[in-house]
Amino acid sequence: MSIFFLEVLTLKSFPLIPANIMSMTAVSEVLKSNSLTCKFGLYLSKSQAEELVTTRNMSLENLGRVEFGGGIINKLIYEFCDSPYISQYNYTETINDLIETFYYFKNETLDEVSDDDLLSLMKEYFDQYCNGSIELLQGRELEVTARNKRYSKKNYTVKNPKEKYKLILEREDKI
Amino acid sequence: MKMEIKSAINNNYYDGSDYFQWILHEGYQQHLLDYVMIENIQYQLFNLMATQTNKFTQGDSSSIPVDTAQTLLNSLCFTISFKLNNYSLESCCALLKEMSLPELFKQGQDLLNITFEDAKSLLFQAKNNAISTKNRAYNDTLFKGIDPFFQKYDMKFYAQDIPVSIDYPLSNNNSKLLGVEYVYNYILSFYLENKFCNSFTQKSINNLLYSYDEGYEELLVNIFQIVLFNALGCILIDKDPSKLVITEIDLDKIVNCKIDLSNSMLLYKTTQQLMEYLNIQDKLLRDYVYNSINQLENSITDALISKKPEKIFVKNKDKPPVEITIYKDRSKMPDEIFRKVEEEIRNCRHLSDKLQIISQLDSLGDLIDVFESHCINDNEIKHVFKLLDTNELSLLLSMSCVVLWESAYDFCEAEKPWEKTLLTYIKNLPKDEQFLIFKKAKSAIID
Repeated sequence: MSIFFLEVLTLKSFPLIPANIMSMTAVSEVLKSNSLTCKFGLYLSKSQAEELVTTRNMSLENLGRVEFGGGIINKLIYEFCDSPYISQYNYTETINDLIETFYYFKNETLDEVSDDDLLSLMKEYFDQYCNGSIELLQGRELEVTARNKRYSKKNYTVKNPKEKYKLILEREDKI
Repeated sequence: MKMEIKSAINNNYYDGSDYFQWILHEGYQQHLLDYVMIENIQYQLFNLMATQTNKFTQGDSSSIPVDTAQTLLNSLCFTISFKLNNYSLESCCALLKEMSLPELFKQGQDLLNITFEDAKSLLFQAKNNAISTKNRAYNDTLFKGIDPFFQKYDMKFYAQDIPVSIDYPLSNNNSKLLGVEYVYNYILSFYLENKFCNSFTQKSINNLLYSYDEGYEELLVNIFQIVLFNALGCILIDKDPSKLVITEIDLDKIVNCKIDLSNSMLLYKTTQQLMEYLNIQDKLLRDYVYNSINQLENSITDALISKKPEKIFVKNKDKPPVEITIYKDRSKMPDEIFRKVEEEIRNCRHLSDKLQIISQLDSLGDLIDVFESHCINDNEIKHVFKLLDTNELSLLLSMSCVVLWESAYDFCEAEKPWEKTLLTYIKNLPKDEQFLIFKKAKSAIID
């Protein structure tokens, strides 16, 4: 379990919230998602659930964030379980990547986009514009969204992204 | 309604939000809390943090940045510490066994709320018993500096914060305190210091401060300490302390009198004599004065041993200080009526008509509002100034935001256009008239 939480959530030398309590809670919460995802042919074993929780903890640690409870993993699973680009073959790997992506862009959007909105955007981009490619999701759609949000644009989401991306490239060529 | 003023002097170990952690640590060390209990508390704290985080993000986000989490945790622990503050270690451990952490947290919040309201009432009392002085730090802090705290303080998520900038230095200021407790303590000390200083006349204090430093208005000094030291000095040489006057001869007496400096009770007895002379019965005030003396005992004793009493006692200056005039402006007219007057002035074609309307205004506050509403231009404002006599010009200058320098009134700073026009107008008057206006402006206090 990550020592990060111990270092952060302590006052001086005494650990007020020990890491093992948070970890145990999270794994059991993740395993509960199987009851829904099995309808889509997706299932997580205990070791895979632990792997997801570890990914979550590492992402939180690397990105300077804290989370209480199982939280986002279940929400993410419920959002993406019906994606045509996810099967049992790439289930764990994709969810791992999506977890990292989610926390990265929570920071990049300065915490101004709620969890539900960000998950919903990620799903829309993943299915409709990126054809299941995590690289395109991270490097294209979400980057533009985050930049728009940082520049306080009212319509910060990406619509018709391929066209917009083409326009950005043309503008950069001219410069 | 008379408010009961609680003493904020706490003899328990307390260091902000760490008291709660200290109890857990010490309780475990001394076997008052076992491992199962500690784990239970940690689990409850975890859930409490989850609830707080959810409230903070309004359910929008399950994760937050580390810095934010640390702040929320500090606030949570501060609130629980505030509840446990007045209990001993054993009592705290018993409470932790009997009550759940959310209950303790809720009670802590209720106590914070009570202290918050008490602090507000106490500030009102402190303003009412304020001393009349031109010391800028004193006035700015008491009448402007502390008020914003009551709008900005966030008890739910930032209970340990002190969102206010306080400049005026107090004699006893417990800088280890946090949040509303710090502010309550600060206001209480302010109130007690005012109460002590009100045992002396405004004139005596004024003379004393002037003797301390002619530019005392701009200094960051504690008025109570200066007054207390001189009062004690008078008692030491059996002189009437009410005037707070210590002359050159008195300083020599202090040096030459046979004070038993090895007697550690000397200062205590002198202070006791002073309190009896001033008939101070209030226990809180008495404790405050004794605490001040305790903290400053070494510097007082050193000054006496080294035969340099002028280090702590202020020698009276021969030149008397400027008398302070307190001016109470008339009430300003209601907003609706002012708008009509402003409209009328704006619609006048001739300057004489405008001047006639303005000359009928009752208060200087209304006059300043007319200047700031831009219904007359700078040229016309000069003609308004011609209608005012020396006293009115000095009061207008005193009410403006113009910064008046002590000895070089040529170098005054003005911010607003009408203030700049006023300064220019005054500087074009004969020199002696200028001097009189600036002198009166510096000695006026607007109530």
